[in-house]
Order: sequence, then structure tokens, then C-alpha cells
Amino acid sequence: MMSGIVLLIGVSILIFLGMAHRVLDRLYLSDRGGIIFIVALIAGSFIDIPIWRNPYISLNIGGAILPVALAIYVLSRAGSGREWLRSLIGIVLTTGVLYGVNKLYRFDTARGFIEPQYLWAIIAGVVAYIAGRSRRLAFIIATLGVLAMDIAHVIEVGVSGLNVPTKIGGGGIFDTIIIAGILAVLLAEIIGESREALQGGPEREDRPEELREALDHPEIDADPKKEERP
Amino acid sequence: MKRFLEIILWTGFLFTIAVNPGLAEDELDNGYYKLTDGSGRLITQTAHKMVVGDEYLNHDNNLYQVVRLQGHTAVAKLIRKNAMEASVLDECRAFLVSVFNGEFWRAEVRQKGPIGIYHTHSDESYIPGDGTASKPANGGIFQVGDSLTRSFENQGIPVIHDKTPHDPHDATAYDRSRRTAAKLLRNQPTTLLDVHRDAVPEQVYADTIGNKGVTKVQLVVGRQNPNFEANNTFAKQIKQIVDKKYPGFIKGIFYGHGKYNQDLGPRSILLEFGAHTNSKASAERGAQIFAAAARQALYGPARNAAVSRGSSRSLFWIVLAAVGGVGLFLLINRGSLKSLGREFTGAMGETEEDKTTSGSDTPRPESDREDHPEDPKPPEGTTGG
Repeated sequence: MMSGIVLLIGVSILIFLGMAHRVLDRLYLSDRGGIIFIVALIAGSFIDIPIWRNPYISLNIGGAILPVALAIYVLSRAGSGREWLRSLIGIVLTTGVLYGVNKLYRFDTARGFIEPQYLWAIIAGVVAYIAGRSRRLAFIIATLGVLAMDIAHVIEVGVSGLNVPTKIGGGGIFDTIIIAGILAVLLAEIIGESREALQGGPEREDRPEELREALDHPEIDADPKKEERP
Repeated sequence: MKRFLEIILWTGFLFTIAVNPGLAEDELDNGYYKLTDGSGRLITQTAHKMVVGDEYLNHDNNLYQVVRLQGHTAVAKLIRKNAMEASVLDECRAFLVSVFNGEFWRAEVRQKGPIGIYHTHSDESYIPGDGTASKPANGGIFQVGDSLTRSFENQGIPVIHDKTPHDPHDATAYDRSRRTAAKLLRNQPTTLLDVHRDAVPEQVYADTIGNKGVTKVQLVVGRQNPNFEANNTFAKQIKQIVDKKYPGFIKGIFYGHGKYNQDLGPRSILLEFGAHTNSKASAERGAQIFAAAARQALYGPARNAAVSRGSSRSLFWIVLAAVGGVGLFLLINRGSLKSLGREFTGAMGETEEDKTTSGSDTPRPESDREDHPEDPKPPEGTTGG
């Protein structure tokens, strides 16, 4: 392989890791867990599991099962009933918007103003940030939103009687499910962090007393279990 | 409740922004844009929605840029004559890159993989021949792909022609065809061709070669694409080679808004064989002519160095943009160059001790915790193992 390309890839990996450890942390993954997850995504990209024959439907391990499992895991770790509710409202709303935009936004070589893959990530990232000020929600919404569009596609072709396959996540690590998820969390991260930096710190009003205490004296609450809600 | 209303308002706003241009484009269903120069001379007609800043490389290799729109007429100015000829600066840069990446010292790379052909818009058809402009899941475009396949195979080039339908013809069609392209990539293809047809009047693509009616071919390169430089170099290379045999047969290179899955490889290209108004038979003949004329660029001992240089340039700009973007992002969030350095130390492999120290020294560790207010935990635990 060309030495220059190797060098550039090396640099981009370092940059990626520098950013990735922040992003993966948002998704409850340790650095090591993150690397294992990425390797599993790449390996799983080559495996399609057929789940229906006519019309053909398959699930790719790397492009669908793993990212969706991560999204569900992140959702399950939501700390409170309120956060669950907020997440669910965000998911339902954004999925509806994504599906509506998909049907009304005309995109092909002749039409459209932005690549759809970016559009899904922008919608998911912005709505998730507004819905929950949350990078995690951005990932969950983008991932499950694109998956929901695939499910809608299965129903649509089923109703129309066309024999069109649906290879959910078939693009593996290059699939829209993954790319939209990553872009959405990065977008929410950039919006969130920049907004906080501009306003001189995170919002404090309407926050629980324990959080404000933890923000003022981060070293005091060493035991996270102490703060867990029932 | 306030938050809920806020979400609904923002969602509606985003929905409107995303959908409005789409609705506006409905008018184009029965129309097309005319691209003219300042004196009103017609450069081309296209079904592509044109906006100010769009570029078009015509068959004479003149690069035009749209400067204003008057209804469906886009007025363009000539920004470069002979755009296929690289400037001295480009040549110097390309030479340095080729020395740097080792190509300068090596012989030409010989291609071996098959040519992969697929159709994102599997419904696209030709009224003269198919009787309709759109046949769901089984468009006439498949036969144009067959014609291309046969011509390549007759020249001894292996081809994988994937006829997976990606209907309906909506905004997620490229998400679905991406999966077909990714499957083709597992066979390590030399070139990936996404074969389409356009939607303009017949005369725009009509041509005659050897007393037979054929359709011209338009190449489309996605601008919102990290691989743009490489794909553009590849498109220009195809045009240059075909122009030598059939001048004017390549109608031009259109630079579209999107990436059309061209980010998957430097030698990915979208081809348009005629329009729905041309006959399918002429499009099939156009495909045969193209396969024979473009062979050297698509397969054979092609000048891969040029495409690789494009690839290197893309990668260089991506890395530069990433370094700049990440640096700015971290600088905004860490507040000083000193803590920025600490961030990178962390990325390179931080020990538990380092984490404890840096965690307490970081000026704004609380920013990491903000998005999960119900589950506060100490900042030293944020990076995990």
C-alpha cells in the first residue's frame, strides 16, 4: 500500500480515536468496548441473516443488528421514567418526520439540495438535541429512525405487490443506519458543546439539586450508585 | 409541556425546510432547465434542478458556472476553457503527491477486478420501446445495463450486473442501492457504474454514429462527497478517452447535489444513457459505443495514478478539515491550548492516574455530564477503560 495513504490513514485514525472516545462515552461504551464494537461492526458487515423469503428481507449484523442493539441498550440505560418518555416521544416524532420527508423530498441526480444520508442525520441530530439536550437520543433517533424507514419500505412493497428486497443494514459499516447515527451524535455534540461554551457552562435552572451539587463539586460524589433513581 | 411544544415547532420547521424544495420541484415533472450563456446561446437542457453556483462541463470541455436564474433558464458564465487541461499548479501538486505516495517510482497498476453495474432507479424506462417512462422494479434501464454488460464481456472484461430493484423511486432509493453497491464491493470491482437515464427532450441526447441513431452519455459526479476529487478525476479521464474516438458523444459532466454512493470508491461513477424520450434501442446502442470507447479508462492498464492522486487529494483535504474542525471544537470546549494538549494525551492512551489528575484539572469537566442530568457521576469515570 502507498506509504502516503498509510500515513494519512494513521493520522485520521488518531483523530478519530480522539473524537471517538468522547462519542463512545456518550453511548455507555468504554474505549476498549468501543474498539471491540467497531471491529464487530466491520466483521458483521459481511453477514446477512435472511428473515423472510418473498419478498426477500434480510438483516445485516454489522449494519443493522449491532447498531440497533446499541441504541436499545442506550435507551434501556436511560436513568428515569421521564427520560424514557422524552426519548420515546423524540423517536416517534422524528421517525414520523423522517418518513414524511422521505416521501415528499424529491431526490435524484436531477433534484434535491442535500444528500439524504446527511439530511436524516441533521433532522435526527437537531430534533434529538431539542427534545432531550441529548447526544444519546440523537444516536437512538437516527438509528431507529432509518430502521423505521426500512420497515415502512417492507410494508410499502408488500402492499404494492412488488418483489423488491429489503436488505436492512446491508451496507454494513457503510450503511445509512450507521452513518446517520454517527453524524447525528457528532452534530448534537457540536451543537451542545458549542452552545454551552458560548453561554459559559451548562444550563443550571430546572436541574435536580444533586446535579447542581455534582457540577459545583465534581469530586464529592465518587459513587455513582448513590445517585441512581429507583 | 413547554419543551414538548418546542419540539413540535422545531420539528415542523425542519420538516418545512426539508420538504419545500421538494414540492417546488414538482413543477419540474413536466419541464426542464435550460442552461444558456450570457448572450442567450443554449449550452444544454437538463432535468436537473439548477441553482446558482452549479457547474457543468460541456462536450467541448468548457466549464460553466450558473450565475443567475430566470425561471427555468439558468444563465451561466464560462469559468474555464479547456478545463480538462490541468493548470501548472495542479500538475506540480500532482507530481509531488505521486512522489510522496510512491506511484512515481512504480509501473502502472493493472486492474483485474470485474466491472460492477447496478441501477439505483430500477423503474427508469424509455417511452419509445417500453411504452412508459417508469416500469416499477423492472425498468427498460435493465436492458441498457445488459447491453453494456454484453459489450464489456465481448471485450473479455468480467462484469457483475446486479439487477436488484430499489423501488420506489424516492429519497431513500440511494440508501437501498448503497446496499447493492456494498455487496458489489465485496468482489473488489475495478469500477462501479450506476446506470440511469435522464428526463429531457429527445434532441438533447440524440446522436448518430455509423448511420445509426444512438444516445449520448452524461456523467454525473456528486459534489457533497468526500471522494469528489477522485471521482471527478475519474470522470474527466473517461471523457478524455472517449472524446478521442467519438468527440461530442459524452454530452458533458454534471456536478450534482448529493454523493450518489460515490463515497464508496474513487472509481464510482453515475452514467445517464439518453432520456425517457429517446428510444430504448438507441440507448442500448449508446451503451455499446460507450463500453467500447471507454474501455481504457474503465478497465485495462488505465492511468490509475491520476485517480489515486485525486483520492490522495480528497484524503488530504478530509484530514486537514478534520484536524481543523476537531481542533477548533476542542479549543472552544477546553478553553485553552494547554487543556487541548491534555485532550490529545488522553486520546493517545491515558492511564487511570492521568485521568484522575486531568479530570480534576480540566477547567470545565461538568460539560461532559450535562446531557444526562438524572445520572450524575464523577468526571474521572467518563472515559471508561
